[in-house]
Amino acid sequence: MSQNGKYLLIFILVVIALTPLGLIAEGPAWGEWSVDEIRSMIGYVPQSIETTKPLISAIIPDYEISGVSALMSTWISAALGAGLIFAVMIGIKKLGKRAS
Amino acid sequence: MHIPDGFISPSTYIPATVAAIPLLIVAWKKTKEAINDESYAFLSSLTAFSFVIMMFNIPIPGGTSGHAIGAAILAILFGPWVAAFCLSLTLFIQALIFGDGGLSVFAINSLAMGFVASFSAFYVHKLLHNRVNNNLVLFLAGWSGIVAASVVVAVALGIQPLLGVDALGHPIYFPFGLNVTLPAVVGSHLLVFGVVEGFATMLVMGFVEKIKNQSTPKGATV
Repeated sequence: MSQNGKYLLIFILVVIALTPLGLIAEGPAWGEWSVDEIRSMIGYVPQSIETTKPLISAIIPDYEISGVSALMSTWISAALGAGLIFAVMIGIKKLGKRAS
Repeated sequence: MHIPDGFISPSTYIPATVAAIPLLIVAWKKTKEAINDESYAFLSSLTAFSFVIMMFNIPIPGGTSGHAIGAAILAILFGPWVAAFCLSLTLFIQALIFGDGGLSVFAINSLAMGFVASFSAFYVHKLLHNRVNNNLVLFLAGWSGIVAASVVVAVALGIQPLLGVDALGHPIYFPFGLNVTLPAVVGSHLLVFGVVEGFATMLVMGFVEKIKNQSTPKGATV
């Protein structure tokens, strides 16, 4: 691995290690409320928000793995997301090489 | 800023999807051209950074939170199209694996945090580069990118009450209008998350420049 690659890998590992800091925030982002939160705010749940189900249900909804602590869930989610990005980018790099 | 499924009317997300597809195709082609053995390490780790930084939720008064997105760093280093692709890849993984942002409204999230954020940051940087202090330019690129994205999200959410009501007169989709979404979404990004994005852009660009200079022999051009 190149020297730059090493520094960048250390950088991203440090950032992943720090992700549990994001758990300090209790509230969701503005607007990204659950059905229950919306009901308690306005007294009803808009029809589409209540009935629309995701096209594909998420494997790890809200970065929380059931039965795993919030801390570990966050680390696993961050590492999984970052790992997937590295993998997709390798794939694109190979495609680009084949094309040229 | 990740809009979930069900919040947006098809009359909004279908045109958004039609608009986003050709843009994503161009962004994909430019990314394929940009990736090589040297750029790979930067592109993949800075895209991973944008994924991870979005997990750093910062609480603000009013019981909500928000985060930086890291779009400006990629836009400055690789151009707005590549940055838009990288952010869209991040958003797609977030929607598909983690249910963060809806798949049906992926195009709106991609247009906002991918394209609008990257292009705004890129052009602010281009306009101000070498004219004012470099750190200030980086800060403003990050700040303006995320604020511009927040305007798109606020408008997409805020027009929903106009697009459908049920028999009781209740909105079918997102229930708050522009008078609420603009101050809440844009206001919080102007004052808090934009500042965080600005500092993140400054810090990470400083780090990137440092390691780039270290690995480049004196006199060589990158």
